[in-house]
Amino acid sequence: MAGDHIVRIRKLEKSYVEGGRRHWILRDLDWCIERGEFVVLLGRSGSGKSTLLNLISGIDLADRGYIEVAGTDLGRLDETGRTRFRRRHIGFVFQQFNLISTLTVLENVLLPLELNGLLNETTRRRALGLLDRLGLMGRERAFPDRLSGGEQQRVAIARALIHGPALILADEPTGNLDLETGREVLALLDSLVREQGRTLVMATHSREVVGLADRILTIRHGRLEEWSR
Amino acid sequence: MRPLVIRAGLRSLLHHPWQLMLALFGIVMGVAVVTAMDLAKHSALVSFERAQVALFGRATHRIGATGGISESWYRRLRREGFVQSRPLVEGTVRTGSGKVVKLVGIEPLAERAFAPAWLGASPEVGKMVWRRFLLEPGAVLTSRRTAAEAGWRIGDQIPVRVAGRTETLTLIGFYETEIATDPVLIADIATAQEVLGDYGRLSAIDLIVEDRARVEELRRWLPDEMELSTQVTATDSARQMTRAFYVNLTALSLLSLLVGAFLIYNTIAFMVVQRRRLFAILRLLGLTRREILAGVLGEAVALGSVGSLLGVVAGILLGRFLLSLLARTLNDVYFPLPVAELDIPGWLLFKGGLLGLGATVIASLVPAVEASRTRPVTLVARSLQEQHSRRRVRRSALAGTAFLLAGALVLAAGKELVSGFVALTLALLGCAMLTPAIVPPVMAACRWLGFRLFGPLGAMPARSVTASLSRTGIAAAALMVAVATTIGMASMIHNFRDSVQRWLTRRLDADLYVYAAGSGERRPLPAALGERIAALPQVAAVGSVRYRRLVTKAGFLRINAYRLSPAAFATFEWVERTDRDPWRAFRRGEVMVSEAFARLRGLHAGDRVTIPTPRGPRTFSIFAVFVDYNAGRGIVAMDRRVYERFWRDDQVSTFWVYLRPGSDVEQIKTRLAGLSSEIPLEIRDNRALLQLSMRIFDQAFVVTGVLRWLATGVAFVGVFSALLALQLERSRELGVLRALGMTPGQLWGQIVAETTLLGGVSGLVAMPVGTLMGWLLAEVIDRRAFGWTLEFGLRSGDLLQGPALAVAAALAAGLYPAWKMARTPPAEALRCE
Repeated sequence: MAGDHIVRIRKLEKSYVEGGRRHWILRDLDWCIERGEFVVLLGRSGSGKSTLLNLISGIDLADRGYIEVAGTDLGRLDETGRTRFRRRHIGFVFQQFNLISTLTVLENVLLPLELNGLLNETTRRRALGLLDRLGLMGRERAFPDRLSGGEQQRVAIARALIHGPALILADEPTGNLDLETGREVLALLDSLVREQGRTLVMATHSREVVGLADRILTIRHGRLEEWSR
Repeated sequence: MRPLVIRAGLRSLLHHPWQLMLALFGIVMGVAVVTAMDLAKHSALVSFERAQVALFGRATHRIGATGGISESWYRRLRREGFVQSRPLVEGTVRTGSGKVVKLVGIEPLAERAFAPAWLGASPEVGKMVWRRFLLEPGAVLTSRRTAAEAGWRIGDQIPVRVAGRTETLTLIGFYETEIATDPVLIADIATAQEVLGDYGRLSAIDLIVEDRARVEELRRWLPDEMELSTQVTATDSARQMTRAFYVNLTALSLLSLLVGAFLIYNTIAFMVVQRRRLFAILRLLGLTRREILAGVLGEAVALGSVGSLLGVVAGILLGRFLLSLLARTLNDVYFPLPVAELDIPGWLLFKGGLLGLGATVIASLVPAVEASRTRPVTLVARSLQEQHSRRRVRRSALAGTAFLLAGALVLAAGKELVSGFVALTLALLGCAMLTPAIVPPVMAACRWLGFRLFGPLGAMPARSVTASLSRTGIAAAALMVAVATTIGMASMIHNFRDSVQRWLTRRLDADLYVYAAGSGERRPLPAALGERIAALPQVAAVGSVRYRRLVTKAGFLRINAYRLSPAAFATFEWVERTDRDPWRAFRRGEVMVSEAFARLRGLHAGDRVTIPTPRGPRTFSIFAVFVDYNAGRGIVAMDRRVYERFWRDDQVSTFWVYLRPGSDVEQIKTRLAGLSSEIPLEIRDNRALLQLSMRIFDQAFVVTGVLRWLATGVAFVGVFSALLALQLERSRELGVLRALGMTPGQLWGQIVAETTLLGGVSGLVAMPVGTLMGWLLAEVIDRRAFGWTLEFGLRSGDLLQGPALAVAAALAAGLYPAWKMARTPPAEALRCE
């Protein structure tokens, strides 16, 4: 049923030209992700995991193919349209955290609400509640460079979820964290995403995450292969 | 714009307060220089106009003549029915303290009809004072202000020097006027004539004539040597005379604004590069390109508004200083200017502020567009950033080449001043855009050399400059522009000075020059004096020139009528000439025109020019255009016989005396001084005249020199700030080097080597660019504004000043970051964003 798919990809192709030679990253890719799924993308460095996430979020453009996210054909949107779409429907969690260093923890979390015109007292309280849930209460006025890596990643998770996006894209979210902290962050991400009924697509090297995922796919030679458990 | 986004941007800016301060400095300096120059120019003219009103009141016309008018003409005019007229004697005297004071002789009864401001506002000048004024020899009035400045009180005896004599004046009263004027002493006409030695002569006669037909009647009635001008023409004349000079000052002050704009560009561009990650995150989170663009431009507008406001205030302060310099120059070179007070019209301040704001927004446009084009994907693929900057460098080089070509086309296509300045700006922008492309190959050579000399550490500074080309490219361009501007301005001024000196040395070929003593427009000498000079046994030959100023429909015109030997004629240099023999053409009655005259009127050798003469308009063939650096609207030069034929004037302005070899110059000077009893003579030898001329030239360029130093100051700060920003931005990277074991000394060496390399390469590029700018400035200012062609040469002093300035600023800029990093624990530096 079409309504169950949050992401639909058809005949997707992406390549880069380097040193005069074309390198295919993704070839003839067909894929669908169902709403509420936790999907893990595995693959070696440079296999195209991040590229696929970039294409799904609309921050990069495919050479060819069709991408539909939450019922919207990204190919039909211009740059501004894709930006507005991303702002509303997608949340990001990165390996490098990518918090804004000149905003406090709370301000970083409030930013997506403000960009979507949703910032009010109720949503502000919700943000504080989320920070509390993530164990960051008392740090909301701190600036990111005063936080540990695990704390920064938890702020990034709060920022990715606060405005209720349908799709969360996480690119190596535990790549910069120690094993224990990584586990904690994954558990938090998993529980929050499932509680809120969001869809999570995570690119990772980590096998730790395999146990949490609904589906596991590997990118190899530009194509997706599904693991069966 | 959203508050949190604004907050993020603002905090990011405040994180680097020194950068903000330097950006503000660029705007403040640029606006201050332009506003100050505008205010000074405006105030000088307003002051001149007010002084005209203060002294001349309701006068509509003035009759003047070179060397003055016989008193009898005043009586004849009144008999002809021009009863609303007044005689005037003007001259200058020097007080005991060496101050030059204007002495004006008036006829009190005739003054009433004219109601000059000083008379109307003088309640203290009562009947008794007027009685003494008319009857007491040496009685004078002055303003309270002049008296206060000179320390005079009523009843004081004031000794004054004039034409080598000492006379004593008595201060009998004050007149009050709200208008600031030159120090003026007002005396009865007879007193003034006696003190100045102008017995029976008037400087001018002022009239109130409203009826045009009467004016025409008067014009026909007056003899040829007398000139009837309106009071409006006095101000017009001042405007015309100073037009080119003012254009020069405007162009140079705009150049300061241009350098200021580059400083702004550099800072904004740098702040954009610094915040590229912030922009990428914001783009990722859903901020559109337009919103980023609006944000950066908004910052620029805020910065520009604050900077312009401060700049206008600084401009008022600087304006007072520039006005005092300008007033001295105008006094020495153009016309006597009253003590000028800064007049501050709102529209000039608004114009300065608007220029500053406009320059800031324009300078910020490119960085703002760059910021808006930040791709969120660069966050994921960080190497893309430097790849893009390399691509940008290539694109910038192509655009720079296009700008240079466009500049050349604009320069070739237009002959007017605006196109010259546009071409100059385009060329400067083009060279700035090309600069980043020059950095990598130069740094490759430095890297090789550094490695050979000092090993891997020696190669690091050059490698680091190339590795962060997105930042160093901008800094190099800003450095180059700043340094090239100072080279260009110095080169233009010095080439101009050299050209004038060469020209004067060539033209001042006589041994002695004899003319009437005094200042301003000098009295002519009788032709018979030439015969008496020639009769002296030590004199080999005598030449002469008669200067006449004519009012024509096309403006003022100067006629120089020469009596020359072929050898003296050979001192003229030609800009262009017909193939006719110049000497023969000159003797045959053709004329030669100065370069300024030819350019302003679009004339060439071989053309014809019509000049109003007392015998009606006469058309002359132009056989040549000659080199001349006199200020003004140009000269038509002719043989004296031709002049006498049309003007029926046998007087002479200056005699040129050629001595026999071995003559005693001082002895001849004494003998020459004794040849004229009625008119005191001033006699100068060619060396003294050359020195005097060059002193006047230097005085004329004092303001230009100040503008040059201001631009140099802005440039130094530009160089300093660009390099300082570059190093402080790398705190984290330098922290890594410290953590890896680099000692503070080694780090200092690295930082200073890097800034010096960048300063050095920018200074080197600035040498040819500065020379090009100097040539373009000479083309724009001297050729197009004044109508003068310079002999343009390279001066090693001006050229080397560029790299020296760049390296000095680079060293200074390296000191603080090196000191700071040496004191900062590596862990702290590693936490820096």
